[in-house]
Amino acid sequence: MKLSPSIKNFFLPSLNRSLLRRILITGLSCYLIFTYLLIPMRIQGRSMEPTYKDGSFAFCWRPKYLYAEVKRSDIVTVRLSGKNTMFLKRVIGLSGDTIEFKNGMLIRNGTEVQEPYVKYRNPWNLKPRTVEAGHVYVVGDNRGTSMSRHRFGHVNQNRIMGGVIP
Amino acid sequence: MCSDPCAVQFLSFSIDRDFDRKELTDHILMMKKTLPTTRFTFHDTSIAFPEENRAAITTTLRLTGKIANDRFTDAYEFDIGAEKIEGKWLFSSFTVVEFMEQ
Repeated sequence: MKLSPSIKNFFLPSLNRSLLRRILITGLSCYLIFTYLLIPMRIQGRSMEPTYKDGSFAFCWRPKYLYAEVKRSDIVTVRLSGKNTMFLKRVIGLSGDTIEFKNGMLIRNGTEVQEPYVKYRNPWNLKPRTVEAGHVYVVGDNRGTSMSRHRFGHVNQNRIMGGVIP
Repeated sequence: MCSDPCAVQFLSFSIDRDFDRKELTDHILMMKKTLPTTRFTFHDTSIAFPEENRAAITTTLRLTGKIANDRFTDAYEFDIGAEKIEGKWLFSSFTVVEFMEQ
């Protein structure tokens, strides 16, 4: 079978200056996008199950909160000392909200909150606390572990790196 | 590697005191024995020199391993202090940054 020159040129292009320029621009664009805008993440741990399973993949979409405020129920990435290790958590309280857990149920501003995304629940009990200005309250969707083993709480908003896709 | 004494602060485990070198080595060995399959890796490390012969290191310690056939993973942010004593750089303090409080 003989390939037409246009198909052959598409799959096996001749190495010239134009091709090298296209490869360089594509490579640089990918580097910038996947390093600063859409950071690929491999999820390790079960704190967000069943929404995100251990070993699955997602992206951190950094520009999400550039012009938008963090909302309740948003899933956010919380950085540690950099962007190579981040916690994936759900926002359950904004500044000024009072957060409490009673027998595993979330009580926000004195009202019980229905959380359809929570499938595993232990009878957590946490005294009410008010979220300070410039902070949010985050927790994982998997409440099936003991409260002492689950990393959650009050976090400064400047620690939020972005939203999550998908 | 560590100065004698070395300050350790890990408030969620109610640790906030100075450890002598032997005590610190014993704790590290005990942790290694208790968690033999645990892998410790450091990420996002940055070093600043606020004054001569002093360094401030910020890093993330990631732990992955198994406890009773159950896989676990965790991460902690550390602020580590280092000092140059008699020509040698030694770690003088370890602080776990508690950025998420229940």
